Amino acid sequence: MMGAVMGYADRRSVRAGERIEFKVSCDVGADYRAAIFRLHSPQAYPPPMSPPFRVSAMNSVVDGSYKSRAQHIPIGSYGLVAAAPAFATLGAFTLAATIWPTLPKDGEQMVLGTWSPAMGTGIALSLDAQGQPCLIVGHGKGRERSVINLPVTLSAQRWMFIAASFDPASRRVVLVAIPAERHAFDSGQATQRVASLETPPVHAAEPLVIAAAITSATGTKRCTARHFNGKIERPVLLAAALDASALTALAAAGPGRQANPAALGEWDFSQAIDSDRLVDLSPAHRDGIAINLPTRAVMGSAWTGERHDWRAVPGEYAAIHFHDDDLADAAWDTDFTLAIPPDWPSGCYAAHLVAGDTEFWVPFFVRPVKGAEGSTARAAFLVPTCTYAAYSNFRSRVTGRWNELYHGRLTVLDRTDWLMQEYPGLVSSTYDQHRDGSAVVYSSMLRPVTNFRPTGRIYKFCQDLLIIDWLEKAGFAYEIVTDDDLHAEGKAALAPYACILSASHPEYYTTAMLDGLEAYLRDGGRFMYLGGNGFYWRTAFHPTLAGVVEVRRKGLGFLGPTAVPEGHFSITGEVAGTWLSVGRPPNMIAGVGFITQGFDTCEGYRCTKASSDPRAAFVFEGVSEEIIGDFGMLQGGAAGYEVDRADPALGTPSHALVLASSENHSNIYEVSVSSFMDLVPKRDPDAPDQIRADMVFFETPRGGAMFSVGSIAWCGSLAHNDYDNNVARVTANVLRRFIDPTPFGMA
Amino acid sequence: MRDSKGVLSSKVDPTRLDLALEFRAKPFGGHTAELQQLLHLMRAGPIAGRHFLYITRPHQEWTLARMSETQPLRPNLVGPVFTRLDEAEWHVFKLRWKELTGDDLAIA
Repeated sequence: MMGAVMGYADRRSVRAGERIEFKVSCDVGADYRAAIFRLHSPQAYPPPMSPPFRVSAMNSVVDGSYKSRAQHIPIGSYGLVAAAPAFATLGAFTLAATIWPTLPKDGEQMVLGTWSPAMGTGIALSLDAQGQPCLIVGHGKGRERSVINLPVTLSAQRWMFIAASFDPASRRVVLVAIPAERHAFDSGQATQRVASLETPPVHAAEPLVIAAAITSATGTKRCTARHFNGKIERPVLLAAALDASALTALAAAGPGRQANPAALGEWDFSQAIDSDRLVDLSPAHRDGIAINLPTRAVMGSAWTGERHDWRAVPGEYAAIHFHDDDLADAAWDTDFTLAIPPDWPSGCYAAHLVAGDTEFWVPFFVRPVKGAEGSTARAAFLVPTCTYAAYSNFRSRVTGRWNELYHGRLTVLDRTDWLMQEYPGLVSSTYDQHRDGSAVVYSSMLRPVTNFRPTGRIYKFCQDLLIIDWLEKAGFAYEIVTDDDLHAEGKAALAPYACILSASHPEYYTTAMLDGLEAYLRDGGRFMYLGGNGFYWRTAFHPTLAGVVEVRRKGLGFLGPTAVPEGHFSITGEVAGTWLSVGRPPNMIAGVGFITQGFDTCEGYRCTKASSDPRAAFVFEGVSEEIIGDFGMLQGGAAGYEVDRADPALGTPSHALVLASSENHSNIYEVSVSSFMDLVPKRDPDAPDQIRADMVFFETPRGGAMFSVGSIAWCGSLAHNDYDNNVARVTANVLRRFIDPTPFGMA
Repeated sequence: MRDSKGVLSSKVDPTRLDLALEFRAKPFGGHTAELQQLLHLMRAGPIAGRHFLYITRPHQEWTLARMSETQPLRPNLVGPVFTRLDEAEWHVFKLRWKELTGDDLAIA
């Protein structure tokens, strides 16, 4: 396993006539080949178990050989304040911040300063490899720096005010560390040291950096090192040398203090939390910018616990949590740009990159040309790009401890999965934790994504292509809409279509997406929810970084938990969590909601008495079997992986028909149940199992309707027996009726 | 799993060949509570040194691999090569049985 070709695109959704840029890194061979394909089916099991892998070569203008070049992924977050003449003419100074380190003995870590390792100039407040506060002083290029430490090792996850000052007249350095814990009692005593600096610093007009040091820079591309892991609050640079008593007073004033009149920069992270802006309170207004999405809206040193909303008490959320493995945008240079020819049909596409014996897929989705000559199909497939982003580079599936346990199977990995270990810069997903153990709340598609491809594990996009395959084999015309489009355009993105088909696992929904879908349904739209665990996590899309999402799993155990008080998105301020916890359970829109998961075996559905209701006759036309989907490539059944059931108490409409329910799921499905009540054996033998997927149908206002299968595995049965089976028949029956303009009547 | 007194324990009774036979007959799907507890124990070990399957032909051929014992984790292809996933599960079950009991499993 030596070398790889990898890439990503600047967007996922593109209309015919628009342009999409591809960014590639290749460290194997002198050249790599790129070719654009339309994707019709995934690479799944060998036929006849699965359909064959079908792709169409587009013979595009960008197909061809390209010179290989390795592109760096600049991970690690930091704050950047532009270079200023005042930084170059510093005399007396003080550097200070209140910090909450998470890995205090993990190498040298910068807190703030102008120190430039390359130039050998500037000053910085830092932690050394022993977790002790230090003042770093540069004496010019080629000269050894001075490092003056305060011999006290900071504790992990405890607030401490640290500061260093220097008076050039006396050459006196003062270092302090003052506990800033409001509630814990184990922070030790205030410590100070007075030392003499014989050789004064050499300053230069370099940027001031918070939580890292810039090792090299070319244009807007920077390489950084010595990242700080943990929270920083109210960093300040003063053009004055405060003595120990003044520093103690500064610490005691806390993060809500007035700006110091001698400040050259005093950054208040309680302001502009929903942005990347670092607001400077000094008269010079040296606002900085947060690079690589450090986590904002986190508890600060002034935390009281009274309110859990940063919008209400921003002063209690005045910290930023920096990580050395944060990443917003790999920001690679573009290798080739494709203008989508206007005659390319709407569909799923990908750039296929090949170098030596390695390959990489970069999928994208083409919508029809906008305007009167645009949409012609009656149905659209809604590609869950929001969910793909939340799962992007799902590291826990490769190296997580619990993966095998809750899948009930050995973990199966391929070479592309393993790229995350070979290239740590690919970092991780919202299912993972940072290196310091804190939750990953932002996830980006602006980097190579190893689990967004038509190959590998038959899950997410790879699995969703089974629906595309069936649509084409069954002869239904379809077009593509993505979550990005639904989020940006609301119901207008869906309005051209009589029916929308979901993917197998549309789990992540922004408010705009859910509102848009609700509005579409209220206007008479029809929706086929052909998946499981849908509409589950409330999500926020970043307003300017395409394909970046925020997810906060408040208090949820193994799923990268976020502290309950940090349960509001930084991007939007909305309360985060599951849509159930927000008061809009998935049952309301889909009739069913997630209950549990298990990936070892899948089952069939047994038809209920309601399946004979005349309202649902169209669903079962030509279907005589009582059991639906007791077959399929995904562990042998149409019901499984993750399953949803109807529950009127959670909002399943009272007129909804539960047409069929699965049964006899394995005990792996018991591992993830959210209620012990689901494990109580049923007393009534005629009652459905508690652990089940429900197939549900109900009508919506103005002639619309919803059909839900409540199972991720449903689409794994569509191609069974050369597409001649009752899962395919039910799906076709519903789609045929849903694209028929004849309105449904509300029951 | 639970011992004869009903106490949860990480010790595995090497005489419980009935659990191994149950797994061999049906590696995927519903298991007895005692077998499920044994499987939870087998599947919940540390990630370092953990066995997994490395795909050598997509959806057709898998090579038994093992995570390295130290960070950063690396895959070590240790073999054998399988063309059926249930056979791979049984092979790893036997390896883990020996790790947990100290005894070779006396079932082919």
